[in-house]
Amino acid sequence: MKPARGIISGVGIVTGYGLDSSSCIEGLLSGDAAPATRERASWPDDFSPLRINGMDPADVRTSLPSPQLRAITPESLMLQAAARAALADAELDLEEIEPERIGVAVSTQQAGLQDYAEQLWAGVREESGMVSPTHGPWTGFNAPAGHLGICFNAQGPNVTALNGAVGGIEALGYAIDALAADRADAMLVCGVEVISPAAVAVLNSFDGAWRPRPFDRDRNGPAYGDAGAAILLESAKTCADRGGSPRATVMGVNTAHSSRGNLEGASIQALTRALKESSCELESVGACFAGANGSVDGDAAEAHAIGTVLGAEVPTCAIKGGIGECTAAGAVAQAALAVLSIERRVIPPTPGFESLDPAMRLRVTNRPEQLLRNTVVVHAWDEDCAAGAAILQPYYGRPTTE
Amino acid sequence: MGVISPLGDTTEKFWESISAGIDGIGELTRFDTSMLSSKRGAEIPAQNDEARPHQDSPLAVHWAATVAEQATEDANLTRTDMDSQRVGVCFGTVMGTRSNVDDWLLDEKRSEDSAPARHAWTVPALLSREPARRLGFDGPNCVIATACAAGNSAIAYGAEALQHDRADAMVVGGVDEISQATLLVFNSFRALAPQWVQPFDAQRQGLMLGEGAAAMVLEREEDARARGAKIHGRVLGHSNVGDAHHMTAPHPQGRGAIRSMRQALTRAGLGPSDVDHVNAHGTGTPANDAVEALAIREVLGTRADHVPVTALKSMLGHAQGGASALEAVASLLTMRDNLIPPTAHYETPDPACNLDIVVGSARRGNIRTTLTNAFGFWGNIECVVLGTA
Repeated sequence: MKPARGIISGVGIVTGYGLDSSSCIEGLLSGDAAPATRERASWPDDFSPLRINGMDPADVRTSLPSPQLRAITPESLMLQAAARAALADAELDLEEIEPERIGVAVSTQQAGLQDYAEQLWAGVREESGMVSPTHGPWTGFNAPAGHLGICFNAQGPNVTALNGAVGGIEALGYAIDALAADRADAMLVCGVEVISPAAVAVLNSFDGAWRPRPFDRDRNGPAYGDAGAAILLESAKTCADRGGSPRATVMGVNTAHSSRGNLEGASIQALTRALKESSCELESVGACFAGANGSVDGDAAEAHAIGTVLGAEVPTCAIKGGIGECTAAGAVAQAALAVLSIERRVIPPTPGFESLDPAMRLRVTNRPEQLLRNTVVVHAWDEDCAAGAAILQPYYGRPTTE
Repeated sequence: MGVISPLGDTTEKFWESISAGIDGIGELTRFDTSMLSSKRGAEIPAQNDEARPHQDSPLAVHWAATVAEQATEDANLTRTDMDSQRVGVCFGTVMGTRSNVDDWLLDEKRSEDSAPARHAWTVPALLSREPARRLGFDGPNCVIATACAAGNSAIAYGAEALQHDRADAMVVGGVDEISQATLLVFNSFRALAPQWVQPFDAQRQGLMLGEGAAAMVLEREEDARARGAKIHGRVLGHSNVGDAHHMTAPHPQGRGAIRSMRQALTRAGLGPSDVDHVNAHGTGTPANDAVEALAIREVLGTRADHVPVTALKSMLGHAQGGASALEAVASLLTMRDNLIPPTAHYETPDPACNLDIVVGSARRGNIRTTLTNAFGFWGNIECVVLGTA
């Protein structure tokens, strides 16, 4: 089977740096992490996630078609903002595409958890009449994807992947399959995660850090962050027919999982297979957008895998040093930033990184670097020994669905 | 195939019960139901809980791993048969591992105590990763949340993984357990039936929650035949669409349902005249059943008068992410035995649901192709067409 590919024509990123992709790439290029916010006194002393400031829910709510849909959760609010930014970036008027031919693929891990907790609390601690029928549907993982479908009248494939930090790669792969099989002309590929009080309670079982230091010798764990990210993926024909501007091409996507707890092995598998699927030469790889988050073991496994597959000299940046560990939103944010990197021909530094762990052989960026080669690799992983990789290149004007 | 359900913890026990029209719905025992309008549902008997290797793990994870083991055993597929990298796992779910946070979330609100051993099991991806760990499968691994269509979505994911040569075998299925919060939410919708689930009946009053898991092993037909595997049936077509209408209500004209059924049939290379049986989503809610009946009639045309339709939620309750996987397994068994299980508690025909509902007892027929429907909140729809071996 020939490789299935797709055109990226728009990106939207909502992170602690701000509400658009420009603020995110500019923030990363500055080398500083997004501001940490200690929002609640009840949060653990060592927990201060990288939150999004300045998002006005009213801006999004007023644009929604039904009053019922305005009881919107933070996840859906953030996803709406990212998706709308991606569509605007692609200069796509949704009426240009048949509703049945545009779909949605979302990655999340915690969506609906806060509403779930609140409904449970209301029902058990107070009385069942306090459980809100309006909020109930938002307890599901699929609420952000379904909500996006309703608001955009996107009647094509609609799916939510629950694959942790690898879910964004899974969503991208699902979307590429949908284009290749002619089930859609365009797919919104999204990731979203919100650090809600309930999510904090769940995440509290893991080691956290005030400041993440990916790949650094002194790293001591991830800091969590909110994020919403969206990519508009189109077939080449759709993009050309509507006069869109291709931004990058997805050349290959793959995921892997190790049942024996070998994260490095899973990462090597995902990277190797994605590269093979892409038919891109190893020598053409100019950068890697890594999933490193400051985890002692996870970063080490990723570094070894990148070194093994891509070599030790490929400039590698870890955006989670800047935006935080946004779990299931991370891979889509990485891919979106890889697109901006390809366009601007620049690789961001890794916020928080100062000195490479001596056990690693890797070239981690600590200042903005020029992107000298055309292939950019996105690598995602999570602690549960799953990994995924996507291979991106500039659009060269050749058909992408062969 | 593998099954854990309120009506049996093996495929054959499940099949014996549903083909006999036995109702698995009773009083809920796992939760305090005093605040609920209906205190009934389809629970899996508690003895299945004790076999959990990790007592902190959610029941859903244990059930997913168990039905995956059953399915691979039934398929005579062991880790030594194949390259482990080429065997994957995909489960669909509505609530994932969320029930596991119930006790702890409530406790956290009181005391902020944490229970890390329990928290480690809150990651929803474990629904596919734990079965893969137990079975030693390192291929594609995914958990899909398309609400109550998730079991069918997992089947579709597996079929795609084979088609795109990402795997040689996929263990696919669906799973969910009843959680207290889910009960409270459905109670708030006033969607719970008081006594029985009566799909397509004029007196239907709502659904009841159920739980369970089902899995099947998918392989390319030539691979299965080459290794002498017993083939239970074939996945002929599938279609995922978004209704894009409302967070809980289906489009009143069945827009998404019609399109998904038609697309699944078209992708199977079949037409309405090829459909021998419909395993309906049939929740027992006034809105769902009327729209589903309208959509089936629109897709099948006059043939709808003669295509037997059954709704297993009348016996199993609504097993959420497990529902369509259980129904897919039942559909394969229907085709194996040419026996369609009845829709329990059907008494009064509803003119708005003018279909050939199988009632009373199981019906004999020559069933070679089954359309299995699955619809979910937020407009997630995935219909699958299954055929005989």
